[in-house]
Amino acid sequence: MPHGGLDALLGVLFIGLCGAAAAVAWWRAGPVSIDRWLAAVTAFMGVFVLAFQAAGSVELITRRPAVSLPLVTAAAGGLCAAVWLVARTLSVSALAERDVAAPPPRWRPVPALAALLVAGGFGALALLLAGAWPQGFEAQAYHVPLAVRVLREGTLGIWDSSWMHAYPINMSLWAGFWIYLLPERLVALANLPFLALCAVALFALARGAGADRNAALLMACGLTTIPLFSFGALQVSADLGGVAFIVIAMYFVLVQPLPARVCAALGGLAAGLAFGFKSLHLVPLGLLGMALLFGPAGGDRFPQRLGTLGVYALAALLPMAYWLIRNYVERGNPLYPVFVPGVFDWLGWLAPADQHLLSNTGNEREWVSAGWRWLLYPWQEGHSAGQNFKHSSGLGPFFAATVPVALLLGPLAAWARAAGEGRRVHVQLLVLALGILAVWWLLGDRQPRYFMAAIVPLLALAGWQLTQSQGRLRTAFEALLASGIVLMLLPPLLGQARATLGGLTHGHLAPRAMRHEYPPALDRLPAGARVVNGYERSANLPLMGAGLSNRIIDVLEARRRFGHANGGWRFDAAAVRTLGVTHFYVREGETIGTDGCVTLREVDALRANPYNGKPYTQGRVLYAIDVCDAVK
Amino acid sequence: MKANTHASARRIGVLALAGAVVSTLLYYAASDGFRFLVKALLSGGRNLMVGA
Repeated sequence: MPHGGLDALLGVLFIGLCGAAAAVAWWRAGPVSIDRWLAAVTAFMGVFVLAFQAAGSVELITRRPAVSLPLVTAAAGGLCAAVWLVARTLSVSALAERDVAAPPPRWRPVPALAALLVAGGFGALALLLAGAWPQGFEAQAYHVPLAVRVLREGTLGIWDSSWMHAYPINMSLWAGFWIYLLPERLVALANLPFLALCAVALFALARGAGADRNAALLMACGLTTIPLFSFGALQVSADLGGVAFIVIAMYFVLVQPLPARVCAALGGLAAGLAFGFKSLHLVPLGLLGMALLFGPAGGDRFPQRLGTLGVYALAALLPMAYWLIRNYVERGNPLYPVFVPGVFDWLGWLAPADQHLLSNTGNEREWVSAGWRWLLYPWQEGHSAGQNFKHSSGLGPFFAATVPVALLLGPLAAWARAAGEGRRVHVQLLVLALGILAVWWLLGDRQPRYFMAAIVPLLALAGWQLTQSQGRLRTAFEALLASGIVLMLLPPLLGQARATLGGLTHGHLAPRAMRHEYPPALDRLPAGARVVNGYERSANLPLMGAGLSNRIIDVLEARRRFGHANGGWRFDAAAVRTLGVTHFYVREGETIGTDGCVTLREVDALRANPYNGKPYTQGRVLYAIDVCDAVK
Repeated sequence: MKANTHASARRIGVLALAGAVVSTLLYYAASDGFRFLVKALLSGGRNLMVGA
């Protein structure tokens, strides 16, 4: 990566400016600590993302790569000043009117012990991750390759014609900044802060739903050990960032800890950021807007509610607008690749040619053998024979003890609660969770990854339910939950220990080529090399080489350009020259044809597993591509 | 009224604990995923896959 002393200085300045915006938000966000922290994090990420988007807007207008660290830092300076000006207009005295809670009860032993173990476990995981490489299918296929592209090529434009590369890329902005300045290994840690943020946001939401500190703490600890969350944190993926910010939005919009319009602004900004991580958070974003319009959160009178909704919508649009405009300019549909037949047809928005998002009904097969089996989940987690235990292998005992019970007892609990703030928040959290579950159920796309945002409010309600038990029953309840938490700390710890330390030889961690199992020559390709990935999508990041300097043509795009109708590959000189292709990476034995002007020369190959020396069924070969002089 | 609400909330607490116990026991007894996880843990994590 092309970084030097000036880039490092600018990077520190950029983070400092984001931090200054966070400090302003912290200072003006009332007297309660958790509100201050959540406002600060929202402001930090808001400035971080908007600064990149400002540079991306210059690129959209000029049609030239414009995203550079100096421009992004300058934009952050302007945004920081804007945050200061807006914050000055808020009356601190009005915000300070909220009563600071009475001195909190003491920490109970079981939640405190669980918190210590979770903190220790994730501390150990952080150390293990620092010795790993960015990992995960989606991380290697596109999150990190897109991240590298942002500052190396100076662009936030859509990578290629594949539908999944057109989503908003807040996670790639985050990872892209760090991978530009830090060694690649350390970027494996990039998602851990978002897991911590999910836990803090759940703690706040549970407190807002009436849980006491100990119950909220236990729920926050438990969340981090549900495999969907814990395994997700070990990858550079977008799920956790999206969940963290949509839960912050839920907190500000539904709990209303500050004046209504301040909450609407902070909640809207957080929801817009969540959309930038995963655009599927459009569902809770819309449901929260409806809560402001039809629920009591927006104000007493309808015009007042409309005003609050307007503030929420404008704040949400702020970090969303760039992605919507970019996709409209580049793909003719602001929500591309999302396409709702009928409505979008009427609007003239285009559908992706390579994907129909409303036909993903087969995705649930990774979790259950038939749709009706969700009714037995998580008590009957259907593990596919022969598979390893991974993020999608189950939700664990803590989930089983809390979420289904919270869902089943939710209506009864709402009825049992005294009328007032507590019941209001309780009912809205339940409706929100059910709304998210219902949307994905009706769409037939039933992946728990998509309804992670529904798990969190249900855990907040479970926190309130735990709060209602007292004495020995309370201790027994806590012990049951804590045992599930401790048990589920082990899978990510052991799994990551094996992944990081598995290639340890003579006291050295596995080098990049060994970890990703590719021919080492990929690390030594000349500057400007462009490699066609004919292998698989997750090879995109490995093929960038140790210096992250090789440019990659993803395998889906490669098949469209060079794939032969009857299988195999065919290279024409004109296409090779137009795209500037220099190398081809493919499984050994695949049919490769050319037009006679293109020749392929084997540069390097990996024919045996570097960990154990066992020969592969099919080796992995790197070819150099030469074009005859007639075309050159 | 307040006392009734208080008592109802307490009952919810007891019901939640009972539900959690039953649900957890069902999970430990019936989940194939959990059985596989135990085997994977006992084998030193051989079949645990992070980053997949």
